[in-house]
Amino acid sequence: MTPGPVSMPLDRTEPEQLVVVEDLVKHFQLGRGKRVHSVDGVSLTVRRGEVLGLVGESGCGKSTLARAILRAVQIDSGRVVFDGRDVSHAQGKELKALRRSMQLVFQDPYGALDPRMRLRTSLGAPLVHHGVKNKQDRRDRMLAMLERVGLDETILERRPHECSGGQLQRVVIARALLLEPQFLVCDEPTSSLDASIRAQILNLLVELKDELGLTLFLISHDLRVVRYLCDRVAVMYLGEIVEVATRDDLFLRPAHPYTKALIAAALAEEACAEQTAAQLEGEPSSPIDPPAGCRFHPRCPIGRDRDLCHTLSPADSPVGDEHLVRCHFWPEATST
Amino acid sequence: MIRHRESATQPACSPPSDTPLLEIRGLRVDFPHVEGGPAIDGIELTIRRGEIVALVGESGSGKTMTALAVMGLLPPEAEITGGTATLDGEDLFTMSSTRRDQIRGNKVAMLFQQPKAMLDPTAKVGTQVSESLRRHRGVSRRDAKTRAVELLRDVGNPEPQRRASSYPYRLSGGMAQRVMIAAALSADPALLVADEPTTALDVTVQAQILKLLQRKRDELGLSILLITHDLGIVSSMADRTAVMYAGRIVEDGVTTEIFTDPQHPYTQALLRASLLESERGKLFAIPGSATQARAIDRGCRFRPRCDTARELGITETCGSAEPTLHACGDHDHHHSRCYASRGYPEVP
Amino acid sequence: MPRRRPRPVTAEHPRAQAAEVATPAAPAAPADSPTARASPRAGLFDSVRGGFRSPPWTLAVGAGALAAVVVILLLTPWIAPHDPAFQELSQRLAGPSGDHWAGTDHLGRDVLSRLMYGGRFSVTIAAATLVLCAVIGIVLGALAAGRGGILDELLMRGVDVLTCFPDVVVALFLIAIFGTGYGTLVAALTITGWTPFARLMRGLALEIKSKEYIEAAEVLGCPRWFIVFRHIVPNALRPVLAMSFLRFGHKLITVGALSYLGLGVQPPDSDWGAMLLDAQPYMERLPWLGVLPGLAIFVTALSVTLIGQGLENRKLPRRRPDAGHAEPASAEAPLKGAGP
Repeated sequence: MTPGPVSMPLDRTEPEQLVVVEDLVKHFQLGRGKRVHSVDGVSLTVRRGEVLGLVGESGCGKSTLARAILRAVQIDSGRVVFDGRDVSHAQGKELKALRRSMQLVFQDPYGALDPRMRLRTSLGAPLVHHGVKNKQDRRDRMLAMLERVGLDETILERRPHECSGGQLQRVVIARALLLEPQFLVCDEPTSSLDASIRAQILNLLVELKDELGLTLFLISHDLRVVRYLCDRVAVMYLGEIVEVATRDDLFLRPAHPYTKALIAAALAEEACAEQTAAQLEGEPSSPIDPPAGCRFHPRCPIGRDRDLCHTLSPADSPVGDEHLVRCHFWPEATST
Repeated sequence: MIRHRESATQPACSPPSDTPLLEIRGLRVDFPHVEGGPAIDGIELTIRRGEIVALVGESGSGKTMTALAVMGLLPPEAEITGGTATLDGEDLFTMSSTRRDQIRGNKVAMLFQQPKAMLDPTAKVGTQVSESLRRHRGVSRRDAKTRAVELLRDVGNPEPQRRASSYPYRLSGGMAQRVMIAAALSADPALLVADEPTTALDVTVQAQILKLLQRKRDELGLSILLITHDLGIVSSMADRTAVMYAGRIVEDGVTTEIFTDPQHPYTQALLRASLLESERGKLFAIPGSATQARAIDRGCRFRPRCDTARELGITETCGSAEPTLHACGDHDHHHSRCYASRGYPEVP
Repeated sequence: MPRRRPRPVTAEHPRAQAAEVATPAAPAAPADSPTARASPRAGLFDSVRGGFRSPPWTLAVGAGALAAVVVILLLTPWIAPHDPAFQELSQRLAGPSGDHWAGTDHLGRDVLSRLMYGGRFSVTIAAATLVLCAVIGIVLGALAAGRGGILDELLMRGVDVLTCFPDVVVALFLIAIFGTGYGTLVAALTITGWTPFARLMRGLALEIKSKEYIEAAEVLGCPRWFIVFRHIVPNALRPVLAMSFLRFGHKLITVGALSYLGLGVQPPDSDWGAMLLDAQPYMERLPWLGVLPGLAIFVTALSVTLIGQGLENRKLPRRRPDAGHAEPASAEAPLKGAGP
């Protein structure tokens, strides 16, 4: 969902938009003709220097979306435009060059690093493959980055299992930043860390973003993290973006029933009475057979009983400045 | 500080009685062949009938080990090196394995973090739910089946009959956890040990599961030992809370008090870090990490990360002898293990 | 406080899923639960009384025995008491004596020396074949997993076909065509011998491919060859190595079998299998003539197998018990990497 026309010819892309995603579709084939509709027509933009958040529950496709944008997987249809260049089908050398500009921070630091490799090798390998042949040069860069993320050089000699979660996540961040990317996708960067470490890593991300002028795309199911870090937030459900707004707008004036329920559930202690009432029933439907019409209708307190919601998929409606929602009856939703 | 929400439901049965259901005294669990100090280093915990007690801690605090010790599910490498645990007067550590099998499922049941992994993929859901019932109460197969359907309906399954005769592979995390709750409660245990029951679930499903557990407590007078690292769910669920750090309990008491007036620096820090409170534009973070804390055998284990000690200039005292768990004030429902907490007799 | 040992928990329930323990009502903790993570090793059968876990001395005994065998075989030219081909006809079929510790065979040759020299052949051929099979298998398996598609299909069907043929039969066939000779022997054994390695390697490679650090390497721009040879293969090596040790015994016995049939090592060279063949007519009179080479094969094969078992016992260090709690909601997403 973009705060502007959906289809955007290449030459009219504004320079401040670092990443533009148009109608991205990614399905996975399961046997017997079944398909998982992971990402079903997603459009969004990420502006230079901002932090865009993406929230949603399991199965909504947010991880797949991230990987599609990063071109870690092939996309089925749609476009990904990075820094003015259409990279939707980049291959080979072009793709490799792209890697220097976009990177990914993973959720589980123990899984994101080869357990048998010393961290020195894990960190150094990407540099080697992107042309930093000189060993001393590599070492200097690694040490500089380690200092930036708050680690001592002794960690280079260790293996992943010898480090704590917090330390390791810093290593993962350092590794991603060694290539000096402009765009950093963080897929649940703090979810597998303890509460006390979480704040450390989030502080680190903010510092690095400011120091290095990064653009962040933060994926999280933890609304508190999103609320702290992000400038704008998009909400995803079953392969579609159902709402996008500035951070304050989303949390103070959520328009989509799903957003309201998420906020109510996640920020329970701070919820005011009306939001507490918006408890969802049931579980998210399977992305293999998404419901007809509005995908949220089976769980929606409004759409459950409305024919329109059963049959017609809603279009994007503007709610306010830079605030779009995909719901037929959102004014009602807001007033309950 | 967050507002502690008033419990939305009033318990249908009488408030927690005074006789303790579970009493743990001085429990010590060690891994003799692994470095780094005992996993649990002397904890006291009491749970009364109909009470929900939360045991809060981060990785390495020993909270999961506590649950396993109570259930008799400690891994073979672990050893109970001290302490007692009594369930309704019976000593859990010295009972025979037969007796242990008798009470497991019957008097005390457990919920695990990964519900899908706990279900046997080759057995029907209904069979697994009624397992306890048939084993402990000798209920016939047909009656057990009916009961299983009832239980499944009760925990919120839309089509309990179908669910009972199907296999677990289709279950989502939330549904699986509901099935596990049905199974755990089928033989009417007095105590439910829930080890991070909602950590692996989506946040909207989490709310449903917690509500379900609360309802069961109200309806059946069930006691729950809720093990978690998430302070958010504790505030709405637990009557009392105990905070664990590096194998010791550092603070315990009535939940409302712990949240509104935490006395131990770790609890205070944890609260602020959990809520992502920020000051001066930065999130409040606890410096350092807990991983080496268990190995400290002299003085307070939290000292290396404690701001309060530094501010009050008592780091030396904190380093020389560990504080005892002392009552904060003259009532008995709030204790803290810190020299700086209210009610501590003068600092040595 | 008296030390209390936890009561051993019985694994009565027939549906014990994994790891530690099955309780009648509360199902067992899975291998990735805190229970299992806390223990240095949580194997599938650990809880079964008597277990499938090998005793801790396995590796030591196996390595010791093999070391002894290898040393003897290496030093054979210097320490063998007699020339293995030297026939002292006056001493035919003599029992053990001061001069001939293991007696002599039907041609008056010293059995002990023949054992030693014979062993060199048996073990070398078996080892060479094994290495060849392993290398071919690893490379093909890794390629199949890496490339997927047609190559993978072809390879797997090829493996299926070759597995149907018992290796001895294939060896016989090839020897019938190309005659006896060391080249043929090794080739004959290798031609079907690589298949279990390829299968294992492919399976492991596929599993490793789905791990996050492989994805990380791709996103970081690491080239394909790096990912295969620096990430996938090293992480797959341990089970493959274990398999190699276990297969060695098989190879040794097969070499012996072929020699026993007269199709392996040819006179004047002889190996343990050939010695078995020679000893056959005299089994009633002088059983040790046959028992000794058989025992040699057995001990050597067993020692290597024990090493393999012993290595299995030592696992990759697990995450420390206090590091990180389990994955929350988003990890449930079945779609990450769900693609083909």
